[in-house]
Amino acid sequence: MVHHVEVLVPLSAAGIDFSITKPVIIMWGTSAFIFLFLLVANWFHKFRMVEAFVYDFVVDAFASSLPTQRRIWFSFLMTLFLFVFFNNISGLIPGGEAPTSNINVTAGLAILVFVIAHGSGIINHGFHHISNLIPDGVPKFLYPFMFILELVSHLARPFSLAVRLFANMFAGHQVLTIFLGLAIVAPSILKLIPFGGVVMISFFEIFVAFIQSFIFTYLASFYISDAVGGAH
Amino acid sequence: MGLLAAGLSIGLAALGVSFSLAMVFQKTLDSITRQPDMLGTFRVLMFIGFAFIEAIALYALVISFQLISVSH
Repeated sequence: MVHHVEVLVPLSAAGIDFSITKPVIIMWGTSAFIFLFLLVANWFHKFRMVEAFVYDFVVDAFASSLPTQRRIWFSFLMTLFLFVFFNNISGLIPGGEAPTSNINVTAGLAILVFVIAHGSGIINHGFHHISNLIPDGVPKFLYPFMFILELVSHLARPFSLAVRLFANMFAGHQVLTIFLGLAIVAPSILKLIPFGGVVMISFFEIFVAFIQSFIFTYLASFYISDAVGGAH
Repeated sequence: MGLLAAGLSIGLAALGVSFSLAMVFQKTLDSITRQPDMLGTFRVLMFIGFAFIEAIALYALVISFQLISVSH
């Protein structure tokens, strides 16, 4: 596979690999950073504007589309958004590596979203959650086909969610690597052309990191509101 | 052969994706000139569509990287 993960502390128990790798350390670092950022923003009056900005953004963009229990969902969506965003950005720090450019991380997040969406659907609607899969206004004789179709589309969701984030982060870093390689092999003054490309792609990567964390959280909120609010 | 497949994979995907991205931006610009008040809504929707379409090219890019690493 294309992945090469740096193992720092090898650990394994009951045949499962629990090794502490570089992405794990970076995820701990970004989690601590988010915690400290929000804590500091609460303490100091001047930083509170930043926190309020993030809060308003998450409420406007994601939580407002949810039908019920917005307070609970808001905390989940804000955590998800900040976690994905700072993990995307950490790939642009020299020596760093985006944990989201590893498919295991994105698959874990996507499965978390899948389990939470369907779990809340089952909690809210009980057994009716399964019949909620079929959209309104479908003739009765089409029910079996629609059920299979919707089941496949629901099972494909975590896959597309994981691969979209992974591919965006991974491809951006590969393009950066290729431009840097060109900058190394190019003769004297021509090195500036690939270097300009590196600068441009780096700025584009900041934009992509934001857009992808936005899309990830937007789709998570859409899937949750689909499962929670689908009462008919 | 693997290298050719890798090149075709990303090339064909880029062809389709560039056409569809052009369509998205063109339609958004049309809509903005028609209804400038809705600029905020259009911008958010445009970026959501942009990310969805762009992801398809990136799937192809990942596949072509896989093909390159296999054919080596």
